[in-house]
Amino acid sequence: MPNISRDEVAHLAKLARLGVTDEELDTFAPQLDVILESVAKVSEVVGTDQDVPPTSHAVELTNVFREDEVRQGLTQEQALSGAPAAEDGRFRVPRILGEEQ
Amino acid sequence: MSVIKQTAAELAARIHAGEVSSVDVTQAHLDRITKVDDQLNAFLHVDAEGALAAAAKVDADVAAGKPLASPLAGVPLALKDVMTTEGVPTTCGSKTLEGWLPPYDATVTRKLREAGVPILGKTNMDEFAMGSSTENSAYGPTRNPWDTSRIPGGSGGGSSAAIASFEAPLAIGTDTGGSIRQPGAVTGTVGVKPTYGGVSRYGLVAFSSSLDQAGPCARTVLDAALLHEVIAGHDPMDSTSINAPVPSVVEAAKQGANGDLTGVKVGVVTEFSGEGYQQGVLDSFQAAVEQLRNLGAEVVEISCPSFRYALPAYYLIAPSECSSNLARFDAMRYGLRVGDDGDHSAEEVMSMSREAGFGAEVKRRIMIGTYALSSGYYDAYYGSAQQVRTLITRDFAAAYEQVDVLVSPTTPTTAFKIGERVDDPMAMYLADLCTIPANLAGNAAMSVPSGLAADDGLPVGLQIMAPALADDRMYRVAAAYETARDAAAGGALINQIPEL
Repeated sequence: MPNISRDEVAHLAKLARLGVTDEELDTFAPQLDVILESVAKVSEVVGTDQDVPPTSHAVELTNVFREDEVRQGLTQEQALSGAPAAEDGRFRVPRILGEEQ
Repeated sequence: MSVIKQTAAELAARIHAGEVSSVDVTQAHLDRITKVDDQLNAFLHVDAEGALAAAAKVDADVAAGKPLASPLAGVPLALKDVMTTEGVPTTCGSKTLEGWLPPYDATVTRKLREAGVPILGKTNMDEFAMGSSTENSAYGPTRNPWDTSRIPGGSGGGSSAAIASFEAPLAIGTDTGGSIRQPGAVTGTVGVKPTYGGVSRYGLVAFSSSLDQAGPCARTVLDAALLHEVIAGHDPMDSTSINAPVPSVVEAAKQGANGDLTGVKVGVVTEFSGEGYQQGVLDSFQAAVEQLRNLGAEVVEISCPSFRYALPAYYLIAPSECSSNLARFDAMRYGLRVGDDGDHSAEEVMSMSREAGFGAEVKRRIMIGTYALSSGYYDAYYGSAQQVRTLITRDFAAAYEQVDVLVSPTTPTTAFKIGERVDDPMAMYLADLCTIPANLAGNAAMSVPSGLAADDGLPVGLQIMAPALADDRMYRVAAAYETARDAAAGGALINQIPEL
């Protein structure tokens, strides 16, 4: 099924906010192709049997409720302790809007 | 016998009796790390000060005759670098988290501290636990102490190498597709993946949340059981943590050591043999099955046809969850940031930082996951993989109606050479062939040494699997097998490891 091209790999990388070099594209394209070709086997086994429900999780997930009580969380200082950049007690981030916006 | 060669159970007994101090035991292991770790690279960070302080506290309790915090109080341990440790570096083997000091302890870390277990340091691993050889660490590969030209398994190769080389009597690993059991198998040590939800994931840096499970690494089944009971249990901080009593695995290990498996039904998974399996592994497995029979177990063959699709399903589900989980590494709140020079937008900084911070395997998996989850491909890939997961769960359920535990080789081959599979992702993935089904079903599974392969003299592991919340069952079988194997072989397998 797959046959994934270099351009598609570049597109995937863009979707995943992952910079990739031209060299990496040359390596990744054939590797991803082999992997996807191999994992595509999963559609064979269930292709004919539509009655198999999907399992997203081995344990049945239910909402877990607790009392809404105020508890000690991280302090502002702790929360910012790993930040690449902080200013005035906040995370400092690069600009998020483009020129035209 | 020197302190470092002793089991955790022996060390605990001696420390608690006041025959030896925890500080001396801890120092002996720190000295061992200093002496041999440049040959292995099992540790990414050693916390001598923290470990000795924890040890001194236990010694003070012993001297004062105070009740001890746990049966393992004073016995040091190596912690996989995927568990957060407050104020102690946690890198997950990634450049992205180089120098990160977490502001909180994982629940497993907290439980170890409360149990009086000195934490020697953080062990090397494949980046974000993605890999089967520890070669994907940004900090260099870990080497197998049986043969330093070979891999120690992965992703928890640092933990398995530390145990096998007597740098630590105990370690913590995490197992998403085999990352505790496969390293255990190839280093001749015991590795346990508890039932999913049995050990809290709070503070375990997430790779594939529906599969990740922390568990014990040790040199004996009893030691693994003792550590299992220290770290397991319900945790309100993890919504997938199971609110049920911890299975009595220590009692089961002690019972098993009596060596009688009369009335126990063992199923041999027929799918896990044949092409791709090393002859030495298959021979060792056959001998192990024979040993189980001699102990009184009834052995039957069981077919689990869907297991053939476990590997492809896993390599869709795990990357899908990984592509979502690793979105948190966006260079904004913590971790590496590259290109923040005023010319680049936040989005560009994200791309540049992730490019610089992630290694090739992590990038591959993020892209595979992104592909599998994208519209147009979702049903054929992720959807089908989830259906396979249902079929595998059904195969297990049907099998456990007939038998108490299932067995197979833990890995198709013994430890391969460093560098042998790095450029061939699919060949690397095959190392997880036998371990993945238990993760997909959320069941318990473990690896216990079954001897050395006749064809290459390297360790082989016997995998024992049990239903969810029946972890005690596999411990009993493993302990019985271990006792019989060691008696027949004239001692524990680990005693045959070459001197470093």
